[in-house]
Amino acid sequence: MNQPNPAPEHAGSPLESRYRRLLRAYPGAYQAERGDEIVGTYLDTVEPGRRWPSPHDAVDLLGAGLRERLRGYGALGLAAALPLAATAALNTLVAVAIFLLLQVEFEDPSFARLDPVGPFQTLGAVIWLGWLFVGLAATVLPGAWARSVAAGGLLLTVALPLVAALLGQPGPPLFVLLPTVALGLATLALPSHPGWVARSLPPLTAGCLAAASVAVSVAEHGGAMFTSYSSTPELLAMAGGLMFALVLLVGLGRALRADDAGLWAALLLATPASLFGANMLSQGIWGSRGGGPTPAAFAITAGSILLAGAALLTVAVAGQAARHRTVRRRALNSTCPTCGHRRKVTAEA
Amino acid sequence: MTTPTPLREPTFLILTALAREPMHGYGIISDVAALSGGRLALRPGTLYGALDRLTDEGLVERDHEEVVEGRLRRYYRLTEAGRSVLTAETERLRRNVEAASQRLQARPAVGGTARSPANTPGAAARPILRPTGGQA
Repeated sequence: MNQPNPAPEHAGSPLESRYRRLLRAYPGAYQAERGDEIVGTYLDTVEPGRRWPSPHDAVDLLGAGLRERLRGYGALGLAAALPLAATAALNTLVAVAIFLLLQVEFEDPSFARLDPVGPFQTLGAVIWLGWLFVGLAATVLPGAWARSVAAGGLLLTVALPLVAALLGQPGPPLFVLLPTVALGLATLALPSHPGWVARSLPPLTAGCLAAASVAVSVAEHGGAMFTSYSSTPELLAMAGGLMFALVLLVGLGRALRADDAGLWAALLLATPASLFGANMLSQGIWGSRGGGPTPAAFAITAGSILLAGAALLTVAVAGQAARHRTVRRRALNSTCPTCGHRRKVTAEA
Repeated sequence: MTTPTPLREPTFLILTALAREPMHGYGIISDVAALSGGRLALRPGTLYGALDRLTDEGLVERDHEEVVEGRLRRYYRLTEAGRSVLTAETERLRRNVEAASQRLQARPAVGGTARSPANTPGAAARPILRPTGGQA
């Protein structure tokens, strides 16, 4: 067995303080009971001379703290739902990316009255190529590497509109970017050990959407149904609704086997799915001007969706916590059928 | 006792690490790394989450604690239920390994490089699972 690091080097050191700061991710009672033990073990494992927790240690501590909080609420299904939500989010992004690339970005820029960026209508093509690359990475790379590539895709999605603005080049509109960023955030939880289904879905999705895109072009006899981003709000709203419906269906199927992870995944994806429809919803509520909602109307609608999504998640976790407390209290109050022993309800319960 | 579902590898290795004697967190991390040939590097946050779960399931319990050079060391040990689960899982894995080994040894010779079942020691006692000429 390796020898742990000697204590004097790290006792009361900035490194120990930083680990203790990360420990705040845990519930207070858990910190008080286990904090010294966990921090002591971290200090045993770090290499000499280290001053900051490694990014992996930080992610490990924050993730473990979040799981402990969810465990206290009886909502561990939410943590278990993250890889499923991430897989659904990535495949939706792959589908949207390939469709927008083929149907919009490769279209004649004169339709959108834009100065072309090379062979594309806008710089947005780089974002879609990026997400196709993330899909490829999720198929062939280990899970941890795929997560890093997904983080790169998200960074690209956030940074490219700024670059486009700086260069004076056209980029995709906000109603496309906002749900893309929301789904991109979800992909950061891609599974560490994806099964063959999760690995085969991105190429399958890309293939199906490419075929559908070609079929649309053929059906139009060379016409152009989707000539620019402004012609895609209905389609994006449908994509969001389809993603949510499929995840909900999977969730209901898994719920029959007493596994609530799928339903939590549907709840997590409700917000990005709704953001895909924000443009249509905004036009429905506030009316349209020049073929779309005003920026203020869109901002209010998108903000309301984000708030409603956060409130929905909070209510669901609070409801689950109340149910968990009731079940625990009943279990602790019940009498053992064998020996007649009855446990007292404690404050912790 | 039988395990309802196979144990995941980290859980199996944590129980294996505790099978010999009570251990503290750093000891378990080092032992799991050694048992897996350095492939599995548990981090403390993950380890203590797993220990909490295993404690809830009655497979592991706290043994004793001590303070060494100002650091708290809490030792964990396997319960009888934990030992039974580990024994059952080890037996399940052993049966799988035996079945795989038998089938691999019963594989028909390909070309001149593989051993022929006929001249392998103990070949008569082993069933030939695939007909000659079948795909491996």
